[in-house]
Amino acid sequence: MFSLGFSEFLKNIKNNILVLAELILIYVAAIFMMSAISEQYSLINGIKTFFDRTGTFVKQDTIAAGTTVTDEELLENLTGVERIVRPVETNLYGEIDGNRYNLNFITNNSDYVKSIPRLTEGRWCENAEHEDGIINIVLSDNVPFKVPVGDIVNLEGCNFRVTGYYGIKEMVFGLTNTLNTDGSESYISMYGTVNEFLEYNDPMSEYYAIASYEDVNREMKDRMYSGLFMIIDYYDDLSEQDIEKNMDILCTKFNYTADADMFDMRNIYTYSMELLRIKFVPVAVIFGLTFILTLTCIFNAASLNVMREQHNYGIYFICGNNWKNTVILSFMHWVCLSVTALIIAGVISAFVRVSNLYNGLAFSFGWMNILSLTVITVLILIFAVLLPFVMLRKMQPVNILRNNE
Amino acid sequence: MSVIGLLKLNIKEMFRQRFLLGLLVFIELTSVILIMFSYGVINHFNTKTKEVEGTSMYYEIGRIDDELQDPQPAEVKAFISSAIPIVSSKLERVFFGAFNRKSDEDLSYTCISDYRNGKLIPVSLAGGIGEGRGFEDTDADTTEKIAVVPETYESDEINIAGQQFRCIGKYKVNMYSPANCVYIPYYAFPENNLEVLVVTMRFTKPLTLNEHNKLAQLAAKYVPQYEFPEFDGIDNENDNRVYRSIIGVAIVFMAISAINYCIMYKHILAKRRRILAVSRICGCTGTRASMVYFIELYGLSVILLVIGLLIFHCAILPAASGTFEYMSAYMTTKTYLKISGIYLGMLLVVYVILIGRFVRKTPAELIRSV
Repeated sequence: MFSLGFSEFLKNIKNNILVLAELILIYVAAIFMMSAISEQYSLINGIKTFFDRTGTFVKQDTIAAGTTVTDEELLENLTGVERIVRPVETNLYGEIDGNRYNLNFITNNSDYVKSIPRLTEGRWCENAEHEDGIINIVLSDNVPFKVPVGDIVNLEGCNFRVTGYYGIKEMVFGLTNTLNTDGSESYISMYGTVNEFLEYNDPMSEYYAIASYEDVNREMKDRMYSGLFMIIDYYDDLSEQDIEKNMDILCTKFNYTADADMFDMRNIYTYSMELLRIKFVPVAVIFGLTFILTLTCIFNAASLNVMREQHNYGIYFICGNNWKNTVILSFMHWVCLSVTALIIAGVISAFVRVSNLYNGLAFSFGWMNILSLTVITVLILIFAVLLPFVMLRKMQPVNILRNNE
Repeated sequence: MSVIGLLKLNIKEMFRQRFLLGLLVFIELTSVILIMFSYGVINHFNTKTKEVEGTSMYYEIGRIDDELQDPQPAEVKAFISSAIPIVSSKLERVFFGAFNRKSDEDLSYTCISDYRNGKLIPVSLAGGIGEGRGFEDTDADTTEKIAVVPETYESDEINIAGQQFRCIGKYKVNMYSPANCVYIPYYAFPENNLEVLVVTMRFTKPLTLNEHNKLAQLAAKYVPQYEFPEFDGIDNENDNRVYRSIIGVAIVFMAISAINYCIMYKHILAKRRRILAVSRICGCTGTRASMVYFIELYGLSVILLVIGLLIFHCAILPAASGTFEYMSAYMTTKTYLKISGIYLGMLLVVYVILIGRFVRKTPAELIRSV
C-alpha cells in the first residue's frame, strides 16, 4: 500500500506541482513567522539574566547623581549585592591608513549580556581566537577607514584585531546616548544604535567598536569608564526591607533619585513585557492569519485531490481494496508531498541563511520553527486522512465510476 | 452557440456542482479578507512600533535657509489652526518662539500651549512664578494682551511688536526658565511684526503616514519657508527585520492565494472538458470560448471581491479597530482600490494562463482526457 501511494505520487507529480508549491510557501511562511517572533524576543532574551532576580537599574548621566560611582563604593555601602554590571566605554586616538581618528569603544560582560548584533561581515569578537596583547573588536560599518577583517590596528599603544563589522542600525546593549526622562524604562532603554548618535550629529560618536570583554579586562581595564547606566543585582535571599534600605542609601549617600535615576528591575520587567505584548500582538495575528490560510489551502487541495482521484479509488475498490486502504493511499500521497515540500523549504531557508537576504530578514531556526512545521505537517496529514474518509464513506464504487464517466 | 448561451450553460454547470462553488466562494472570500487584514495589521505594526519606542511623536518644523524671512505669527497660527482638526486626537503640546529682528532687545516671545478639550491652554512654567500669577486654564481663550515675564523685568507692562501687554506674573529665572523669555497665550500672541523661528508639535501617539502628509501639505501652504520633517521609519534593525519578514509573509499570502486559485480553477475547467469539446465541435471558436470562461470566472471573482471588501469594511474592520487602533487610518478608499487592483491583476494573469492552456486543446484532446 505504501509503495502504491508513492507510485501514485510520482505518477501525479505534474498535477501535484501546484499543491507542492503551495505547501512550500506555507512552510516558508511558517519559518519566517516564527523567526519574526524570535526576533521580537531576542533583545530581552539577550539580557534575561537581569530579569531572573531582584535588582536596581541606575542611571549614571543625571546632574543630580553627579560623578560616576565606582563598584567598590557600591559594594562597600550596599548589602546583598551579587554583582554590578554596566556597559563600559572609552575613546582612543590613533593613526589608521595614515589619517588620525578617534574611535569609541564599548564592551559588555558576555557572561550576562548574550545579545549579539548581527554582523555584516566576519565573526563576533568573543567568538574569535583570543591572544595576549590583542583586543578583538567588531566595528560599525560606517567607519571612514576600511580595515580588512583579521587585520590589527594600533591606537594609543593597544593592538586591536578587527574580527567583523556590524550595521549602524543594529541594537547594541549600553549604546544609549539618552535615557527616558518619564520613568518608562524598559529593556529598549538599555539598547541603542550608532545611527542614533549620527542623528544627534555628535562628531565624537559617529562610529563605535564593540570590544571583547575578556580582552578588555586583560589588556585595558583601567582605561574604561562607566556607560550611561548600571544594573545592581542582589542575591535571591535578600529581603524586601534590605532592597528598600539599599535604595535609601543610593538616594542619600550617592544622590540618586527614585523613579528618576533608579528603578526596580521588577518594574522594568513588567513594563518590558507590556511593550513586548503590544509589539507581539500584530505578529501573532499575522501568524493566526497564516494558519487560517494554511487550513483553507490544505482543505482546498486535499478535497480537490480526493475528487480528482475518486475514479482511481473506485477502481482500486473493485480490485479488492477497502476504503481503509484508500485512506492509507491518500495519507501516503500527502506524506510524500509534505516531505518533498519540507526538503525544498529547508533548501530555500538554507539559501536565505547564506545569502545577503539574511541580514535584511528575521531568520532563525530553533525549536519554535520545528514545532510550527510539525503542527502544519500534522494538520496536512489529518486532512489527508479525514477528507477521503468523509467524502467517500457513503459512496458506492459503482456510483463513483458512473459520476466520473 | 452564442456567447451568452454558452455562458448560461457554464453558470448552470457551476451551480450544479455546489460543493465546488461553495469551496470557491470560501477560498475567494477568505483570501480577500486575509489580504486586507494583513495589510492593515502590517501598517498598524509599523506605527505601533514607533509608538512603543517613542519615535516620531515630536515634530520640529523650522526654517532651512537664513536668506529667507521667517514667517509671521499669523501664518504660523494659520498653520496650527488648520493642523489641529487633522491631529486633534493625538496633539499634546504646541510650542513656538518668535523674535523681533528689527529690535535690539534680546527677548524671545514664546507660546507654549497644551492641547486639552479642544483648547490651546497656556502652560504654567516649570521653574515657578516669583511674583503675580502664572497662566491658568481660564487664559486659554483670552485675547487680552497678557504676558508672563522674567522676574528681572521691572515694569508691569511690556511693548511687544508695537502692542502693549500687561505683565500678569514674573517667573523665577533658573535652569528651566531663562531670563530672556516672555510667555504669551496663543490667542493673545501678536499676529505681525515678529518672526517665528520654529514650531514644535508634540503628540501622544505617532502620526500615520496619511496624517503626516496632510500636515506636510498644510506646512507647504502656510509656512513654505520651513522644512517639514520626513516621515520617520523604524530606526533599528531588529524591528526592521521583523517588519520586512511580515511583509514577506504577506507577499507569500498573495502567492498562496494565487496558487489556490490555480488549483481550484484548473479543477473547474477540467470538469468542463466535455462541454467545451462539444461546443468546439458545434462551431465555437477558441477566442469565443476563452471569452466565455474569462467572463464567467473573472465576473465571479469581481463579485466575490466586492462582497469580501464589504464584509471586511463593515464587519471585520470595526471589530479589529479596538485592538489595532491604527488599522482603520490606513484602510482608505485609495488603499482598497490599490489592493483590489493588484488582486485583480494577479487573477488576470492566473486566468489568462489557465484558460489559454485549456482552450488551446482540440476537441479530440479534450474528449480523450475526460
